[in-house]
Amino acid sequence: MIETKELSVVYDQSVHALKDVDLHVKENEIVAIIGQNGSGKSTLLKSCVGLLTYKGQLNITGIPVVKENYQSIREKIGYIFQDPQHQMFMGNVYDDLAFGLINQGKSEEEIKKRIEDISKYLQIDDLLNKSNFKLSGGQKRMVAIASILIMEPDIILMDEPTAFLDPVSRRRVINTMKDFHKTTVIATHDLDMALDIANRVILINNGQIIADGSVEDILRNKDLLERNGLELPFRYQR
Amino acid sequence: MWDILSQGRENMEKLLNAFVELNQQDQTSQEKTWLHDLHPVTKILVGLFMLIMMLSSFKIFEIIIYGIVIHLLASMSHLDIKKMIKRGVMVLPLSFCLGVSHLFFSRDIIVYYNINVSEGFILFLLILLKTYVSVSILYVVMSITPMRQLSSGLKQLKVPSLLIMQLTMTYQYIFVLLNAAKDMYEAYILRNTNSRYIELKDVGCFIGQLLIRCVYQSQELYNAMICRGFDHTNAYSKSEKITTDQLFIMVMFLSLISLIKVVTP
Repeated sequence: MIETKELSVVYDQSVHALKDVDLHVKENEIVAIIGQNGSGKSTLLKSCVGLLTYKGQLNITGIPVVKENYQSIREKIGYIFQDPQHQMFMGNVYDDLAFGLINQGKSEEEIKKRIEDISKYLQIDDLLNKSNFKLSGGQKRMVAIASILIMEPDIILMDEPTAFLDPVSRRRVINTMKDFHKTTVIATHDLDMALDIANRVILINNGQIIADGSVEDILRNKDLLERNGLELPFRYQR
Repeated sequence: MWDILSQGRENMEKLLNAFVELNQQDQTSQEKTWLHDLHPVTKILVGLFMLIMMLSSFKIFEIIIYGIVIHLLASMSHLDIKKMIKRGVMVLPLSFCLGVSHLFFSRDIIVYYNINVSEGFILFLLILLKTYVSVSILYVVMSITPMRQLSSGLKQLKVPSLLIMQLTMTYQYIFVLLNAAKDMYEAYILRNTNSRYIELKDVGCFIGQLLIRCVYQSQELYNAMICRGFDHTNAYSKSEKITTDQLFIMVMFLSLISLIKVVTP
């Protein structure tokens, strides 16, 4: 579903955020991309939706990520931003959920029905008429997830989905993500979450893939994690 | 210190709540009355025509009749009339300041509706009335037209898409700007306990930082928008065509406004 070959991204003509990344994500796979701050996790995700220019090859469901294909690619991919506040730009929750569907040209009845369904499913139906900036961090995150799921994308990209969340909200988000049943790529520091959800882990450092393998192989490897600025998940530290 | 902080916070909250109210207004625009169901082009054109007719008039009765009509329309749209009057009255001090000089400088006595009265007083009254009715007309149009419809209506009226984009983006980014300003203001006050406001020496830096922060956040917002299918070249292009019924209603409204203009003494 996602295929990259010698993918490189350079910022400001000299900073190599990604260097020759070769990657293949299969259908229905849940991949956690882990790495310390500035390792290139978010850059990789942003490249997939055409938010950054890159060198090399990058295909989503066989379609190259180039300007002419942005629209069709963005219809297939749902991108959940690190800070949900950056993702919410309409006045209230209802309008925010409707935004993507309006752009997809859905009818008013269809939009209403989908908003009803998703808000019940994610238990945010009491927030629909609330102003976006009056929501708590956990509520914002759930609304951000809803605003993507409602568009029924084939692939979901998530940038630090559990950042800034209290334990209860974090657990709620994780449980929601378990039910996605879609190809999902998650960029995260939260190794315990990766342990819970992912079936494959990719470790990135300095824009390069250091390790790619099963959850157990990578997240139990203390030396590997520590060499790359990470620690064992709490569950394995005990 | 907490007093200062809470007072500053209160001011910021007030500002934010004013914008929440703007958003609530957008929500009232999604209610269902026959006026809400009118085509956005009809609403915009009728509002604009009424505004032009009213502003070009020098007859107090005519302006009062436009005022009555707009209040009737507001009532038929189930709008909160008290809130509408409050909005209209809120801007009066500004027009008072603008018009008060007429009382002193235009002292010629004229015959107005068979009454001898100073020209300055009539001009002053006209400024106050026109301000109030203008605000009321804009309030009603905004309250019965959601931002999305307003944009599509403007697009159908061939307003340059750059201007429409600016309007919608301003509406969307204003919350970002205010939230960023609130966070920065609180952080400032907490580290500058002697001052209740941002000191003059820090204002430049504060505004500069605020703008930089907002540019970054706006960029992220725009990215989020395009990831969800937003395209500025064809945004709001799926607007409904205006039907014959809607055209008929528009003509009726325009005729009514013209009739007021012609008939009023």
